[in-house]
Amino acid sequence: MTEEILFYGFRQDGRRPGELRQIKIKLGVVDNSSGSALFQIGHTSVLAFIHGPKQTKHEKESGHIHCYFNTAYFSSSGERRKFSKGDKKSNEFEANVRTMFESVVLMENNPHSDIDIHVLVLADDGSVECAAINAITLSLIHAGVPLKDFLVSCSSGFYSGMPLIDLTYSESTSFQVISEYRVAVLGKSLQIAYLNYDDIGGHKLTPEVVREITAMAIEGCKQVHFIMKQELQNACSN
Amino acid sequence: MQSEKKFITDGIKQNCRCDGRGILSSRRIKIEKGVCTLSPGSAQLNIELSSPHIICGCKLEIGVPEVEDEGIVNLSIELAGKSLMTDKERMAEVKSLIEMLMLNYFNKKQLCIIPGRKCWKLFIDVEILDKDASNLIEHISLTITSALEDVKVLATEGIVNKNTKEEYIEILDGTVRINIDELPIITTVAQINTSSVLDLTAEEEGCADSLLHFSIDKNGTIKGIIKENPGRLAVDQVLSAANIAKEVAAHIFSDLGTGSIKYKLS
Repeated sequence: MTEEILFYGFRQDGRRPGELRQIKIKLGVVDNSSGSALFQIGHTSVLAFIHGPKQTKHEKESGHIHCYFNTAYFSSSGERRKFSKGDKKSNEFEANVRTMFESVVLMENNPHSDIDIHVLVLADDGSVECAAINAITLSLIHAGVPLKDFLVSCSSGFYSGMPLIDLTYSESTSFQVISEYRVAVLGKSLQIAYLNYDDIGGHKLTPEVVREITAMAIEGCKQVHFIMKQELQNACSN
Repeated sequence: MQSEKKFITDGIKQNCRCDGRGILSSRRIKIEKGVCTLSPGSAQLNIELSSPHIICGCKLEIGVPEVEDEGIVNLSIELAGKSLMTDKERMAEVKSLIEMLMLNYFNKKQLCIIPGRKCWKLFIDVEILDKDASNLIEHISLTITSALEDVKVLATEGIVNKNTKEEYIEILDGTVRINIDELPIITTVAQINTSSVLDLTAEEEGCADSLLHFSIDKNGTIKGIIKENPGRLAVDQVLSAANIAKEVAAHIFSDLGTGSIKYKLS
């Protein structure tokens, strides 16, 4: 792939470096669940639904959050996926979601109860994990689970002295781009709750670059937070 | 449990069901095509007043054929979210039923590019969102039919160099649709207390003595029958069920293009 990443200040899909793709949010997409949400950003679309809070199987002090991350076979933009669940990346993400959301969900309000989070990726065009985190937050809100704050996420990358936001699949798999740098922050306080970076190009990050792309990602998170809040208010007022 | 069962079966004797339908009418189904932008063909099925519960996406790859002049069709059915062992077994059952009744009649010769060497591999992947989905086999067959209607295959031409025996695949302009004229759909007719019932809900499925799956094509010929559940049937019952299934299939085929299906037999 030797496509131009930046062309006269514009990216492949015509966006500027600090511009997000179009975001679409739908609440209550899955019946038979406590809460559900579909989060679409560009071509990426992720569906999350919640079962619970429900009684734990074992008598314990507090409940737990379980996450099940599935990717539909037809979600990839190139070849069909070989696995839908249980690969290394999704196992890692499931563990991350558990720790991330146990710090945000007020578990003491639902003692002895478990929350099952199911995530289904319907289309993968980059920044899936960020979209998944946003979808989970929305579905938890839709389910009425008490939260400390929004957990919003956005990805960023770095290309020839320029930080990019919300990477597409072709950008995040390009060797020229330092990617994919994923950040999740609490909506109000902008404290970082999750930070993940796995690079395929063998780039080394310098502290200046880290500062720059983190600031860029947080800027994206702010925008996502604004849109999510607006959509939720619209959904509640109707 | 027994009292609920009695309530449902008694209601069906009087042509009255819990959601107000008669025994020979269905819920309204809506099928949307092209919901997944990254797959060449996809469809999603909603039942009226509820969420989408089946999403089907297709993927195409080039592979090596198993039979000389035929392509390869691969079906997978998955339940979204956590699936228990019993769910997996049920999905395997559903998959084998769909393959036997429907995909065996798919014309695989149209997927051939170079006989014996290269062909299209068509992957049909179905995701079920609702754990308690009912009338699953009929709905999956409709979703697959719509998704296949939506599929656009790149127009290709296979070239074999006669001297060096090397093969090339040349991509032509435009796309080709998959021919699904011969593909049957599956309609399910249930027997509860010797009366035929259409489009069961999850509660009614627990009361069904037997489920008859008919696969019927556009001309109205029955291509396959499979019976589920342990109930016993008289010959007349099977024949009357077959007549009902044929009428239902005619309704479905006429409505399938509009994306909104509802049938009611008298």
